[in-house]
Amino acid sequence: MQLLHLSHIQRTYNENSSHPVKALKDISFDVNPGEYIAIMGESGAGKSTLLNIIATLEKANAGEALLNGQDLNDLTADEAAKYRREHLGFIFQHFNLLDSLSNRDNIYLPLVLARAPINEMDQRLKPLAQALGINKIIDRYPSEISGGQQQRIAIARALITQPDLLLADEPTGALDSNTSNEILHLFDTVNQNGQTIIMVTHSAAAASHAKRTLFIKDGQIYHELFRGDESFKDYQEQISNTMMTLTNGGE
Amino acid sequence: MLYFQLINSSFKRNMRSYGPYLMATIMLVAINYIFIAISANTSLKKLNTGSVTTAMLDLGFKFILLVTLAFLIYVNRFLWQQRSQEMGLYSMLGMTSHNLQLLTIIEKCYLMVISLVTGLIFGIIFEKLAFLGLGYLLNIGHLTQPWFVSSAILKTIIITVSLFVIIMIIDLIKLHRMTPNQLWQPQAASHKQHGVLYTLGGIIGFILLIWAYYITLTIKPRISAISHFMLAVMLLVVGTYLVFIIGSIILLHLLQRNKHFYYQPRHFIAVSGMLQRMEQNGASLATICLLCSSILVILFTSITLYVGIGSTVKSYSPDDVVMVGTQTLTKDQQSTISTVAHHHNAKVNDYVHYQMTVPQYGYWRNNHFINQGTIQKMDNKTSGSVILLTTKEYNKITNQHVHLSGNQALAYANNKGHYGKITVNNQTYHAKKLAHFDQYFNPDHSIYTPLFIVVNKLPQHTPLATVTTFNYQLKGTQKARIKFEQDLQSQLKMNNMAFTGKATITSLINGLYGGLVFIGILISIALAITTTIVIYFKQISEGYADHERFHTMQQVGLSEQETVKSIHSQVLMVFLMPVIGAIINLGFAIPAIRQIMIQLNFYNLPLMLTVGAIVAISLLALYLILYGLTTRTYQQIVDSPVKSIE
Repeated sequence: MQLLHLSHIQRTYNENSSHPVKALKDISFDVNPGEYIAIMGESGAGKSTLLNIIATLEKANAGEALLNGQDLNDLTADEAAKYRREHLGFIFQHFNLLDSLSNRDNIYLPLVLARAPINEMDQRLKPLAQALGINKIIDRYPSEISGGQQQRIAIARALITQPDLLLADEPTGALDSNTSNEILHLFDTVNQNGQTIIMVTHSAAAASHAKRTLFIKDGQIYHELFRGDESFKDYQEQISNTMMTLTNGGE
Repeated sequence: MLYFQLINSSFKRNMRSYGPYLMATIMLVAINYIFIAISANTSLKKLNTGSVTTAMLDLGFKFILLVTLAFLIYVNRFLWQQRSQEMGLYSMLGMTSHNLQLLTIIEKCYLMVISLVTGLIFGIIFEKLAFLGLGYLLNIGHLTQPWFVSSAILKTIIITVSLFVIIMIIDLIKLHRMTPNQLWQPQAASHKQHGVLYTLGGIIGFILLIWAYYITLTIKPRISAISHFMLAVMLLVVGTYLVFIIGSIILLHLLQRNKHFYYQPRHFIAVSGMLQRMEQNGASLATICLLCSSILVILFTSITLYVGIGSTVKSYSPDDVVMVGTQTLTKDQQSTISTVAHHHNAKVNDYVHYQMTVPQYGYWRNNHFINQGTIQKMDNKTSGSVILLTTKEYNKITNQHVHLSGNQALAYANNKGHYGKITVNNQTYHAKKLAHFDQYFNPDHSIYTPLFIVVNKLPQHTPLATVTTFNYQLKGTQKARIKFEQDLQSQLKMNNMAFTGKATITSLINGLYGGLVFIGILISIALAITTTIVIYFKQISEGYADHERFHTMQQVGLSEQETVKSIHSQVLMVFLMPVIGAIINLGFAIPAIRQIMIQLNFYNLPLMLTVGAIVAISLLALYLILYGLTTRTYQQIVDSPVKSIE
């Protein structure tokens, strides 16, 4: 059974105005458990809108969005909040850590909101901190650590709820290439452990880590690539070429 | 006129900050003008208490001026934070530092002209009203004040311009020191690690507070009470700042260490949020707390004084006229009284005259009264006075037939008093407390109100005084009564100690304390305005800071309902802290103020408590209304469309 099922999703902004903006025209795809999907496209193609709909931060005007059998359009705002913290993990371009909280408390935040007992939080954090290499910085504050380290904390925050789906929005967008590589390798490891990931990105290098890449243009899925057994390098070139055609108007 | 366009558009966009800022500067200009104009009034100076009132107004004015300056600098800093990004943008777009300076100067002039013109208009209207109010409080109808007091207008303009010049210079210095890059980039929040010294500071803060409270609780009604109170105030100011800035953070850290408490959604958000807030805002919360405390204490003191005037007058002069001498009135004096009364169409009656010892000053050691002698022998050990009266005289005054045997005695005082087994002049009495004594009074008008003791036999070698009192009926105003009393006093050739007229003393005390109440109220209004604005700006700045935090929390699964809830509980906590601190301060100040009041002959404890409660409740109510209004703005800022993932 699919984890995520999207069919004929439409999203229009300012629907009733004289200039409605059609961000998503007709999007359909499925995600199976354990998949690692990258969504690529130019600015304004509708990537972020799509991610927001999956993230329950926005609602589609038409179409069906099912996550684990739950219709995302049926959720009220408060139910959506609860759903987010129980089933979804988020990673952002600018990390979005709270500077009022220590790194440990930032990671605990979703669990605290879900009223998890302290012991459980501790137990969940230990293996994560080990895997992400954040043991040394766990009791410092976000303002005291580097960007790459902040993103590791953010990943820990996203994973500690053991989400069904990990959503990443340009996770390497604010990082230098070395740190980006480290973070992307972490994603690989996380995915190998069975975590489903959807990542929105501009970067071909980032997308080359995903098993499948969807290209969006003008609110529609334009193309789809599978990595298969290709090497990162070849696959990355293929992605770059596709992006090039996409930009140049396509065939 | 690019500059004006830029400034206009900036005003429009930032109305949220400029609006309240202008409102506050306008009101402060108005209050400054009211103070200057009233103290410049000539008819006020002619009153016999006018010089006292003017002196108090001057003192009050200096205080208000300080408040105005402090306020302008505080709010200016806030506006600067908002404007700096804009300035950075202009500078990046190619404005030279010269252009930016000009822009700052024009902006300040703009603000100054608006505050000055509107403030003066309001000031002139309110001053007229305030003057009527002052006349009413002073109980004098014939005060006049022209609509325009040109000297005051000029003085207000000079003061306002110089205040604005000061903040303009501050801004220009800031501008000079900054590079465009700094202007453009907001400062990142950093986390400070605190050392042992820091903890020590917090502990010292608590100790200072406890010390201050200890002083207020143990102040004795002596001349030194006022200086002790001043010491307590200074300790309190330093202590409050330390406790708010450091103590609160230590407390929050302790809460954070209690994991079962801390890791609950509400506490988690509140404690971490507060921790950050207190780091940044401890000082301004302490300022709000102290402002509220001063409002409470000033209002409380002045209202109690004013309401208590009746009892003071009564203790100075239980009947319409009281004369104290060494012997009974002579025939000559009696006929003088009749002649003067006849001349003024006054009908004199209720003659009472009796003998008592002159007030003996000293201090109490347990129930032993250590006698120091007459009022001239008073020193800083003195804490009370005693008047002895024979049973015979007492019966004569009260038309009773009380019989005392042996060392039995009756005693009455308008303060706590001493009863039971007491020793005065080496004589031990068993004093029973009297429920009331109509002729009770304070012949020396001294700060140590006497204990009246009715005994069988007066001790030997104690100087005696003869008291003659009477009432009179006179058709006419209070002024006619004062005239009669003054005429009588000069005809009898008696000094102020020997002769007390009720109408005269009432008008004197009214003038003195009425002026005090008036100044108290004006100062409280000024403080209330500044407090309001300080709170408002705090809310706005925190709203902007919290916007991002709540946004992130919503993304990781905080529902809107929970957001609103935690916003409310957090804001309320921050909001209530200063006002609760202020009410605690008032609570501890009351015993000390009471001791000072006793010196000023105000001693009505139930009255004081009522006034205290009313003042505190009104402040709390006002504060909560303010909270409701500002929280709306805060919530609008925090809730402004949650930007989804970009």
